[in-house]
Amino acid sequence: MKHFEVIIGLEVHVELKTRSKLFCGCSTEFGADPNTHTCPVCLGMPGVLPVLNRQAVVYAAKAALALQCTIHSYSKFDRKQYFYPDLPKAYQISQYDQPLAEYGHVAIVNGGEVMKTVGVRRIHLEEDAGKLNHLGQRLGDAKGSLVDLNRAGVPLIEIVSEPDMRSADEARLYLTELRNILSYLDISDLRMEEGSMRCDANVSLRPAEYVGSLEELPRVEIKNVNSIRNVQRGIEYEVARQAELLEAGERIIKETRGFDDQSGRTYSQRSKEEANDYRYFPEPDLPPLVLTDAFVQEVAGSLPPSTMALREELREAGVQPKDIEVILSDQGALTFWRQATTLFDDARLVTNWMLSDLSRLLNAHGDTFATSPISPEGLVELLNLIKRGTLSGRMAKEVVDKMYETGKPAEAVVKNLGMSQITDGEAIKKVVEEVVALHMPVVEDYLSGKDKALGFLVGQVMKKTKGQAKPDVVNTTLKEVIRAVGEKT
Amino acid sequence: MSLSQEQVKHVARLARIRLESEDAARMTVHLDAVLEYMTQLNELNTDDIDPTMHVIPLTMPLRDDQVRTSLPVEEALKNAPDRRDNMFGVPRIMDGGDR
Ligand SMILES: [Zn+2]
Repeated sequence: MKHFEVIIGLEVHVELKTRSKLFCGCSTEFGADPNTHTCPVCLGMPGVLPVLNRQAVVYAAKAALALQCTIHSYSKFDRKQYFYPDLPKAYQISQYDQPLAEYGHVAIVNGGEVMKTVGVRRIHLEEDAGKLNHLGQRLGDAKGSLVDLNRAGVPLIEIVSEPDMRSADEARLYLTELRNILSYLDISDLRMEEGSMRCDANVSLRPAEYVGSLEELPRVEIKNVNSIRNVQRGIEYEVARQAELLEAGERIIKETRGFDDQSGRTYSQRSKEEANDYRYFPEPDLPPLVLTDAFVQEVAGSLPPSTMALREELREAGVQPKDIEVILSDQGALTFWRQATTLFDDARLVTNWMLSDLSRLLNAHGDTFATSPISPEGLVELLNLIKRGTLSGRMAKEVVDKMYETGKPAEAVVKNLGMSQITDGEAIKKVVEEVVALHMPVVEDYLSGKDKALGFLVGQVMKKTKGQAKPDVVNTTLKEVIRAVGEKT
Repeated sequence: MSLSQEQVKHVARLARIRLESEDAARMTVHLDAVLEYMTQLNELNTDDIDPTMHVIPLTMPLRDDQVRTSLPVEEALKNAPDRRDNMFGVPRIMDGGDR
């Protein structure tokens, strides 16, 4: 078997959550009726002038700084020209040779350790295209298409990585961390299934004997995959497909491929011969974008703590690496965790309850930590009952289910269920003495050496206390009482 | 400067202009002459001159992120040769490149 090195670079488009579009005042709201958010500018009417949205520039600059990029004090916009029905002007306003920012990087983390650093080649601002609805099952046999231009002109940033990833798993980790970083900036909804974050993956295989440049390797671009998981699957399939071709002595064709979720395969999207001849030229309607040091400093000052700093915060509280990544990937979970750990000093117990029982309930009901019906205070109340010994772990699981269902606090649920663990030694002793008196023959069996007899007596005590006595207390109390009986006789 | 007929056909295709063969031959001569004329600019020494990105000495004006009223759908679709469900109808899109 031949040896190949897998070379992966990712292009990620992120829709910025400005209120209005990049170059006009139309709303960016998702899910509005078709073509209700359009105007002469985003419809591409002649004679209109685009005016850049300041907030989009701020958001792009935030992303650039969080991804350790250098923001250029001078950048410009260009026209990228192609014909497609979702592009009313027949060009997209983008940035070509002088993008907003360059030379960044993302550290990817695995098992609590930085595994490698992936370069970010560039970040630029551009406008989104409209949305096509095909009449028919697939594009290929569609009778025609319908165009909704609500999305045309919505601001995007494109984040282009260096071809630094060497496996589908590294691509997954890069995307996960990219999404983590961007989510704390609060600049985008980052919903891959709704298209507010989209990923194209460039995949090529470098044979061990290859000495040319990476640029010259024939590469395949997997377009518009709708989840991180599917990016990973698409790359895995593509690596296997290309390896098979190369081993059979065939060559790889440079092309664009789609990903089919059902089969897990990529398929050729025959693209037009001149598809990549975009004839970029400077956008004459927009003067250069000049960003001062003061502007960059101001944006830098508004950045939240980095994901690395958040990891450190969780690690210092004793959270395990695997759990750190789960909490970090969900801003709502981190907020919940922070509130709960301010009220309760055992961070590990908080983490365990959040990520096991509460997560299970949230998933089952389609909720998230941000919308959880059990508040951090509510969870802490439950944890306090466990800590005081009022509830056993097993009982608490039952209580948390009821809390979720009824929206009542832990104490009330415990009272309603007639639960609460009897830890009061005296109360248990009373029951134990009753049981011993009722079952003297069994007690004598135990005294004569039949250890198993104790199990029956424990069972009787538990029955009388409806399972609410603390088992270890029952055990010791029984032994004490029986010993006393033995000494008497 | 010598422009090939292939290059002219390529540019015509990119601009979605249909060119018959004789037109292509004629256009090649004309375009070549235009380009030839422009090469005069190459005679100037521009070593110490920054590229002109924009002819107006202005930096980017920015606007606040405020939503303005959009066009009524009827207005937006007024020029559409074909429409359905308040969307622009377009003919079948040949050979892919769905983005
Ligand atoms: Zn508009």
